[in-house]
Amino acid sequence: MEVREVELPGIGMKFSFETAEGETICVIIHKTGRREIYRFLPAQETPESVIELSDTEARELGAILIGTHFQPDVQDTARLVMKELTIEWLKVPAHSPLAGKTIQENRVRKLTGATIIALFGPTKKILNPGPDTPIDAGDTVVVVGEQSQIDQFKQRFALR
Amino acid sequence: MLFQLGLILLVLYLGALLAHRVKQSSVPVFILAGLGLQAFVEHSPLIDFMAQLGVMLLLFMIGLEFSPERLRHGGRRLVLAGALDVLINLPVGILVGLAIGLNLLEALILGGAVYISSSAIVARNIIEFRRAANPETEYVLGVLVFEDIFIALYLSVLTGLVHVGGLQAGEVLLVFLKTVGFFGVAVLAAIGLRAWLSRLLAHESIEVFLLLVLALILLLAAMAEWLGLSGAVGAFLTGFILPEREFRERVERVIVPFRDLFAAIFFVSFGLLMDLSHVSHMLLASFLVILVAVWGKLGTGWMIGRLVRLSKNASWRLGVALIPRGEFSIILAGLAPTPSILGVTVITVLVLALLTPLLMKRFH
Repeated sequence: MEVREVELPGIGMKFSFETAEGETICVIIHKTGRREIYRFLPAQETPESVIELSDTEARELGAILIGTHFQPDVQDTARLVMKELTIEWLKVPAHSPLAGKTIQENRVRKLTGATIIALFGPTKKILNPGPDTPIDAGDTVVVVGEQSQIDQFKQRFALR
Repeated sequence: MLFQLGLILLVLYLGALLAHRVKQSSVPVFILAGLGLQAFVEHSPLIDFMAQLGVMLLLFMIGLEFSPERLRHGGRRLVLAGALDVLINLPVGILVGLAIGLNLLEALILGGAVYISSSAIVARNIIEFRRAANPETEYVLGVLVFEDIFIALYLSVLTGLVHVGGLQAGEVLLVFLKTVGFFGVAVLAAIGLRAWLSRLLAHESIEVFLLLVLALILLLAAMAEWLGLSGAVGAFLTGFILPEREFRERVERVIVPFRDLFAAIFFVSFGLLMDLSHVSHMLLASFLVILVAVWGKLGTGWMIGRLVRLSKNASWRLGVALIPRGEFSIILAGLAPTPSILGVTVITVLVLALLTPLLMKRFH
């Protein structure tokens, strides 16, 4: 998903992206801290609806959306991009070299530079897993690193 | 004097209240307030001085929006849009000036006033009408950035020309070179002194910050005046030199109140100075100027919009958004030796400020 970022001099910043349904979601962060979320229907250039939020409201909504209060089951892939670091939730398919081996055996950090910071499975939930933690097919790994390291991680271990 | 100043501020308070209520820019309201105050308050050197401080602080805040980095990020398409805007609107503004019988120097002043949109009013309208996310808005704001830089140069050159009182080739060249030289030195200073200034400004005491910033503004303004340029341009360049991003919040807290106060006095002083006995003569000229000002921007918006493949509707909206004129037009008109230019400009600013919201609703 590509997020377009444009500076609006005198007003603030504009972030926009297109959803799978073809709608455009556009977030304006005003210099004053006010946020606006605009929803454009496909091929429309005037917004269908607008949500206006104060700084505090926006942060709360952001926390809700990111899953702070409730994590849905569909967490096979998720991504959190910060200034320098990216955190990504990735589901491990059976054909991935990761499956069935420990973190150490895969030499994750040595080969990619990325670090696995958590591991979830149907019956397990391991935070900060040690090098001898085994990973099974179907688990979800949470990995942190620079974007390039994460990309390398996904490529090497055949994760989406 | 205390009573007069107090009275001015009281009327301004009512004006600001009204402007807020009807969701209008306070600029035209303040000018009208000045007109209304003519019977009670005399324009004095003190008011004039405070008005000058107002211009400097206005320009300083605009300059603050710019930085060497931001100019590099400008983007070719935005430069193209800005160039188109100046190539259309400045010449038509000058032509209408000549058509209503001004001499060349006066026509150049009016041309600038017709050309320059008001960043403050435009940005306010965009927020008010929820246009911030629209496709044309990026171009509107890009054009404004271009305009502000251009007009700072233009203002500087014109001030120099008014100062020497003529348009002889040698003098024009000299003033132009001085301006370019001053801007050039400021850009170098901006790049070279950033880190050092940044450390000085980061002082924990807000008092230290305030005094340093105001001292820099006044000293650069004085330097510009000494060079025969406009003091306001010196203030603009101070804003350009200071590292804005790190101190945005401090500036908002410390400098903006001063700007709001003195800029209000600046606008009121125009109302105080306007000679109402000539209004009837100015109406026809104003009508022409308004016509040109509206259609110039509509045409510009249409051309830019079509050039960057916006829809027809968005192209109209682009033009409409650019219509308001404001503080810069009035600053420019204030340079003119003949009062009728100021009168015409004030009327134009007032009418366009009221007209634009109607047009914005129309082109939804």
